[in-house]
Amino acid sequence: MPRISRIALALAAMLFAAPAAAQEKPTLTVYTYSGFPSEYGPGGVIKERFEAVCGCTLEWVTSDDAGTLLSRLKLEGAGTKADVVLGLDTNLITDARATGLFRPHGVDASGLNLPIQWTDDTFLPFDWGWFSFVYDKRKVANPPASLDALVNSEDGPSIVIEDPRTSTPGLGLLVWMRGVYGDGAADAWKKLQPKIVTVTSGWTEAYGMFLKGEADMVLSYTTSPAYHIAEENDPNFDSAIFSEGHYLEIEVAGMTKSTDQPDLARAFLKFMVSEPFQSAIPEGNWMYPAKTPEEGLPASFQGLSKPEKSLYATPDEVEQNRRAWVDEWLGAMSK
Amino acid sequence: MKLLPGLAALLLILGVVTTAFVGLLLAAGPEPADLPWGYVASVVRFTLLQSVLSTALSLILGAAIALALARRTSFPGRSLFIAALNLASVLPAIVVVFGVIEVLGRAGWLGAGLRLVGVDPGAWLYGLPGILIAHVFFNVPLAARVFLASLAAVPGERWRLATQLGMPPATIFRVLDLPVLKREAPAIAALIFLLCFTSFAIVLTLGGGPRAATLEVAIYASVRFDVDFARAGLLALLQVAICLTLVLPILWLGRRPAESAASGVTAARPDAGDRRVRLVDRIVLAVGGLLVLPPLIAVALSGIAAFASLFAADVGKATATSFAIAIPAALISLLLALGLAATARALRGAGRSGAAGLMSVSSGAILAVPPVAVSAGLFVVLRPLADPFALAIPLIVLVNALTALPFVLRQVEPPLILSAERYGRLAASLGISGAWRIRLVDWPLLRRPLLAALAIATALSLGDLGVAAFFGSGTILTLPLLLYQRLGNYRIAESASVALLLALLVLALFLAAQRWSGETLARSR
Repeated sequence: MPRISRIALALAAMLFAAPAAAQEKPTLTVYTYSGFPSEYGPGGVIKERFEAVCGCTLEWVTSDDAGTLLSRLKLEGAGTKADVVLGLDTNLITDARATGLFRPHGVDASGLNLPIQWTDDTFLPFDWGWFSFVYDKRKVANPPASLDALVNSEDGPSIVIEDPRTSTPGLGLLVWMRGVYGDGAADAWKKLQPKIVTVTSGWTEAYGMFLKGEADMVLSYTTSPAYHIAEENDPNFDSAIFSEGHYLEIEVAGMTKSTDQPDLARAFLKFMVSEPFQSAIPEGNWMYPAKTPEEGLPASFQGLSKPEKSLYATPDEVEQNRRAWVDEWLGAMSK
Repeated sequence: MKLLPGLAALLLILGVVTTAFVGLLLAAGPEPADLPWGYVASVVRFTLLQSVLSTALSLILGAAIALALARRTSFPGRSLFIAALNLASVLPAIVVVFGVIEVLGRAGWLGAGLRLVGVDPGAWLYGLPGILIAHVFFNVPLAARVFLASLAAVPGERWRLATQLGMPPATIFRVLDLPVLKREAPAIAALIFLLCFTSFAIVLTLGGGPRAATLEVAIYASVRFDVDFARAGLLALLQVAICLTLVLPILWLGRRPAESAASGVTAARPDAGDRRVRLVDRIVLAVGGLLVLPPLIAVALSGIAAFASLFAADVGKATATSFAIAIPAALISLLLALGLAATARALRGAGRSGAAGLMSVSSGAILAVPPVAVSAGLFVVLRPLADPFALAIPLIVLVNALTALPFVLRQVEPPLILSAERYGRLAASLGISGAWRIRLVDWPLLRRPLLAALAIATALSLGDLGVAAFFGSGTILTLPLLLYQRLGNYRIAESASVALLLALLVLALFLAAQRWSGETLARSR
């Protein structure tokens, strides 16, 4: 059966190709989520630019998403092959720190352009964004001006949101509702419920359903409209800006204790907050860069709606309350 | 000796399942898991409700379509219709979800049509209706395929006899069709029940909220942010326990009456000419067509817009990788299924039908175990032994082969049993055994289902996302992963093109399998 043997050969080639190529130069292994180094993410350009200056090979190793990234790291423990882990978000930081697998990054973070002062010495941000409800201006003429207006609107815009148990924006909205309503969050969820078309497992499904027209607004980021401007030349998408303020998502990276190339790993983290890396972020990952490039943000980001007020829940606060808040949400939404 | 292939397959299946649980336990550590019992109980209730309803609907409609197709052996587009049925049962869930939404959603064809006459359909789809529709879309074709194969295998002598006796259609149904349907129903019901009970993407996307959840969702959630392997393991055990308790009795019902010998002649069904039956068949086929075709057409239409994006380099690479995984997985799956089926047949021959049933159940064992548990468990157990990255492709192949196994078994087991029942004693009395028996007795009946089974297994594996996503290091890119990557980067039209490509590849596989098996069958007559 020649066909099978050819497949076996192809398999063998795939399995052995990567290690063989990696022997000459040192290899920096960076764990990340699968969207980052994909054809459509910023990873390709970043790899090229870093390899041009590091004299090394940068190897992306991907997991499904930020959550599975941390699961995998926990499973591997101190034996992990990762030198750097890139793509955890602030909600996962406490849990990630508790693994004891990370070491201080040793990079000066004072020059970063985040809405908050960054002081964490283990995890270093590479991009950030505000959660927001994104809508199509042709369909929603008067978007709600506050979260409370959305919650209390009688036949207000329909929304599609993500599950806080499986998705970062979903967890973001959970924190947002707690931040605005405190102990009244459960009641607010009950009021919001009739407007929720569905709750998806991840951002991908939610945004897809929004674009298909299933809901008037989708829980996403204020930077989402930039994609439609830059890639589709479509200026019709916008974010509803809420007067209570918008929570932040900050994506971070850290270097492992077990890395056998600490210098290279640190060089990568330094590179991460420098121009060549940061300039690939806005129109690659569709988020705000942690450090604004010298020539400013690309045109697609210039006209984006921005919240007046940034809200931020510390990783510890989220970690301590997440289960209770999720249970509260389940209770309110299951009625 | 005859027990060996089945036992080997059984060992492999149980080995993987056990490894998954051992791995989860190792990862969990010594702390005991705590479960939100109230929520879990409500999830189990809903899961049972939706999966029992989905299974019942799928079986009834699947049987009706199979009967209609068995009676209407030639109408324009019949083989394309059957291929479309096959296609529907193997597409990735997210593709089907989008197809269904495109047709029935608020902004879909139905919604647009209703708005034209001044009615806003609202979000009726999200909740139990949407879940049932998507599950029925997936599983009616599955049931129809299995029933049709069995109905087509009814010996020609019966139809001659029915014609000579002048049996009315109702009697034909009761005496000839119903026993066949009843014989196959338990196994296919068990498979569909398992698929619906463990449904994930459909329930999460079309469910409308956490009211409509499955245990599978809760398990994924406990690994996703909580990284709580103890809870995941406990929930997974609960899921397996419930599935076993419900599926085992179903299969116990599935004791089959032995078939009598047949000479292999073909004869037309006498009820095909009846005018009322013809009307019923037309209605059934129209309903089946309306259920299955519009979402497929929607998938095709949304894929055309960005068709040019299929000429990107990564599409070729992803297609090659997908096949490099799917073809070995399909072959392994087929070998395992043949092993299980041969041993089950030998056991049944020896009067041990309980043990034979066990072979059949175990083929679906992997379906009851959540993919995230399988991947995490294998990962933990294998890591001390070898580099899981290097093992990624073999592991994906193995898990895909096991996932396709129950589907493949449903294709190959019935004909294998038939050949034993019809020709087993004759073969034994003539002293035909071993390779000769396979060649002379089994092969003619198996050839067609084998090809179909290969096509199904390859297609299932092509569309699989779950395990590849976990094990995949940066270098492994399959078509479903590419679909998700494009979707994850706002490129919805381009991801729809990948879905279209996937659907076209699967369609081509099924048409090829149909053609090959059809030709060989024609020649053997």
